[in-house]
Amino acid sequence: MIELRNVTKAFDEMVIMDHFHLTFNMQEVTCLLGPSGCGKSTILKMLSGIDADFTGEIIGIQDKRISFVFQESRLLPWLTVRDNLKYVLEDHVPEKYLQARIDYFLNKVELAECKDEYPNTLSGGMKQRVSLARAFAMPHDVLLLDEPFQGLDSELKNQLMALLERLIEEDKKTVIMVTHDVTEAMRLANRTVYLSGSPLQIEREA
Amino acid sequence: MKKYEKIIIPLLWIGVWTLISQRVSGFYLPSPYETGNTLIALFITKETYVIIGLSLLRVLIGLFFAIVLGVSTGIMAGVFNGFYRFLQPVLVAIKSTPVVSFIVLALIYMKSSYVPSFCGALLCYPVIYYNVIEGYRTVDTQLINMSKVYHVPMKRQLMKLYLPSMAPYIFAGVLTSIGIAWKGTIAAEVISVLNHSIGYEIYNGKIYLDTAAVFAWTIIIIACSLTIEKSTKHIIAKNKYYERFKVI
Repeated sequence: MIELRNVTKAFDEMVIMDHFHLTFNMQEVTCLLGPSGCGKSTILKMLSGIDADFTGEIIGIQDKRISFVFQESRLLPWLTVRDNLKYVLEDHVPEKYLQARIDYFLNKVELAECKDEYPNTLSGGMKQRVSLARAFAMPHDVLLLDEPFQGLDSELKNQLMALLERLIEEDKKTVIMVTHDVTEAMRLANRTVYLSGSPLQIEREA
Repeated sequence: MKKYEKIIIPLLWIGVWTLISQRVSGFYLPSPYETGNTLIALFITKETYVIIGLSLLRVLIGLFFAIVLGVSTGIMAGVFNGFYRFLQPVLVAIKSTPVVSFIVLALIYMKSSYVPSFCGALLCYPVIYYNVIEGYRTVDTQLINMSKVYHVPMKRQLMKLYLPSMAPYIFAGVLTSIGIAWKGTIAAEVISVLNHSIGYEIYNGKIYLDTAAVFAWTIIIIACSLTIEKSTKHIIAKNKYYERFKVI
């Protein structure tokens, strides 16, 4: 189990979490649902170690390998799709399996033919698929997703959601996803935590 | 009309130069014809090429050290704010001290043959240093955070994230520095009266009141500086990181 215990976080004068408590079960898909700016994404930043400026404890994450799908694809523009995956995988996957693993996951997201392309030649949806391939190709225990479909049109969003659903099903790992879209939560989550802001509170769980 | 501008504008200025030179003494302003003759005389002398080569070498040595020092300390100052503050007084001193003070001090401390390269490096160093810091500060924090989450080793981050992000800033610093390096190096050659140097030839022109020679050597300096700048631009334009940046 991963647990946020008595977590307090403030941005300047504004307290966004005040002795906040939340648990995540392993091998479960948990969706954090709430309005924009309530602090959902901050939870993921804390879990991933990007944000360490808070008081309280996070238990059960230290020994876990984390993969993260951000709102933006966050690809290095001067590296090809293949090299973008290689950039994060090189130290986590033995050299002899590296290429096969990259090809396998690019195939999964149906971008095998684009492996030598640069990100600026890909559409927004394709870039996000590369980002998904990178996250799943990285050996991980916990997968964090921060509104991965934001800014995409509904058709593309449906395609990507179906892809994500399939990958999560095959992966069987702990998934924590932030969204403000109820349909995304209903489709993907085993457990949905409804949050409200200022400071962050759990409204209800389903 | 526009396509002929590159020819017409210089010709107009040569015309202005000719008119003025006809009204003042050749001692103050040699005519373009006289300067051209001096240039031709220089180009048929073997020693001219040795002199240009040696001055060029001094400029390149100065630039090389400025780039190595500017990039390394610039990255360190970007990473460690304390190091930036520590270096700041030195940078302020370098920027505000007249070049002639450096040349005279350098002549006291080191062999005169090292002074031109040293002064060229010293003048170019702040330009490259500040460009590198500026480049470091513009590295995308989202990519830094992504690298942090995936535990990408620092060495790979430096080579594949930081340096490519900073490349346009480093290139811009190097391009700006080329002209500065020529100015600093030649000034140091003049003051240190260094044998086999363009500066020494300019100095001789002054001593022997040979204004046409001073003009001719100045034209050679401008031509060399522009040639290096153009070649560097050509090399940079072929760089894959620069190419990628151009299309984003």
